[in-house]
Formats: sequence, structure tokens, C-alpha cells
Amino acid sequence: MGVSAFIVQESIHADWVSRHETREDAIAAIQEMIREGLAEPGEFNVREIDDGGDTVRVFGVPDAEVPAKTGVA
Amino acid sequence: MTQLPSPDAHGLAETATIAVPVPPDGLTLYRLLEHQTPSEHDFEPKLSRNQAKLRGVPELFRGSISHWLERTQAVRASERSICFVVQLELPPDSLLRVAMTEQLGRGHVDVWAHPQELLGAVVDVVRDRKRP
Repeated sequence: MGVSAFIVQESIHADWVSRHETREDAIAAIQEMIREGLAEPGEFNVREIDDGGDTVRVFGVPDAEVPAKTGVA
Repeated sequence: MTQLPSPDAHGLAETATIAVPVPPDGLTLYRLLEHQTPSEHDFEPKLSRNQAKLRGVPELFRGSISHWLERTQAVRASERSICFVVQLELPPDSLLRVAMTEQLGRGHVDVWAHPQELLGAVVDVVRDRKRP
């Protein structure tokens, strides 16, 4: 483990999608999926882990930061 | 405690994946559920091949789902204030394959299996309240 990270995961079952170094990168990954029509708002969230791998918190994309879709699912 | 091999113990990169059969003594794992009653849907990988590619999920992991070695680890992975966690007792000598993937969190285990097989391994469901 060694370093803290931000895991994009499916909101219900916490199935992981991607691992990021920063909160901003993780949020951007979700925003991009929504923008491209690959995800619905609320379908994914972010799990922050500390340098020991323990979950610090889980949070969603703030409503104000949810983009409008531009793609086709 | 787990008998699953870790990449670190074998001198491999943290991102390496060592998928193995369930150990001879079996394996206890925990997973978050959508509702209190588990269904095959809870154990079904969700991504199509194209969705995985577009979302940056390696093809290897398109067919795996997330589990945890401890119930508290599963609870902490949920955003819900109240969540449902299922306990599974995975048997050896099955088609199941498991891998420690702790770069995604302490106690995180990826599992490859038929959803019916996982549903059949359910022994308990706990309704848990997330603590701050």
C-alpha cells in the first residue's frame, strides 16, 4: 500500500473501477463517465484510503459538480 | 486470517495480481449488498467489454467483483449510513478464483465466480450502521 489513494467504485457494492492519486482526479474520472453517458449521477462514488490502505471516507460527486451528458450510452 | 498470497510477499509489484483457488480450509469473505435479501444480481459483474475499456478497467477485472476479509472493511467501503453486508464461506475445490488486491484497500479481495456459486456460499446477512 504505502500511499494514500482515491478509489472510484460502484456505489452499491463498492466494485472498484479505478485508482487515483488525488481527489480531483477521481472526481474527474466520474464526471467524464457521466459526460460520456457511461454512468448515471450517483452510480459511482469515491473511497479515500490512507497510506495503510484503510478507508478514511466515502463520498460522491457534489451535485454542483455533476456534468451534463454529451455522449450516447 | 487469510492464506492468500500477496504480490509483496513474492517480490512482485504492488499492482501484480495473483489469482488462486480458494485455500484448502475455505475462505470467509464479506460483500456489500443492495438489499437485505441477497440475489444473483449482487454477485454479477456489471461492465460490458466496451464499458470496461472506456472506463479504464483492465479486461482481467471486468469479470471480478469486490469482497473484503473483514465485515468492518466492507461497511467502511459503503457510502450509506445503513448498509447490508453478506458473509460468504467459500469452499475449496470449486471454480472460484480469488486474489488479494490490497492496492485498492486493506483486506480487498477480487473474486471470479459464477453468481449462483457465490449466492450458494452465503451464510449470513448483517444490517450494519456505519460509524463515523
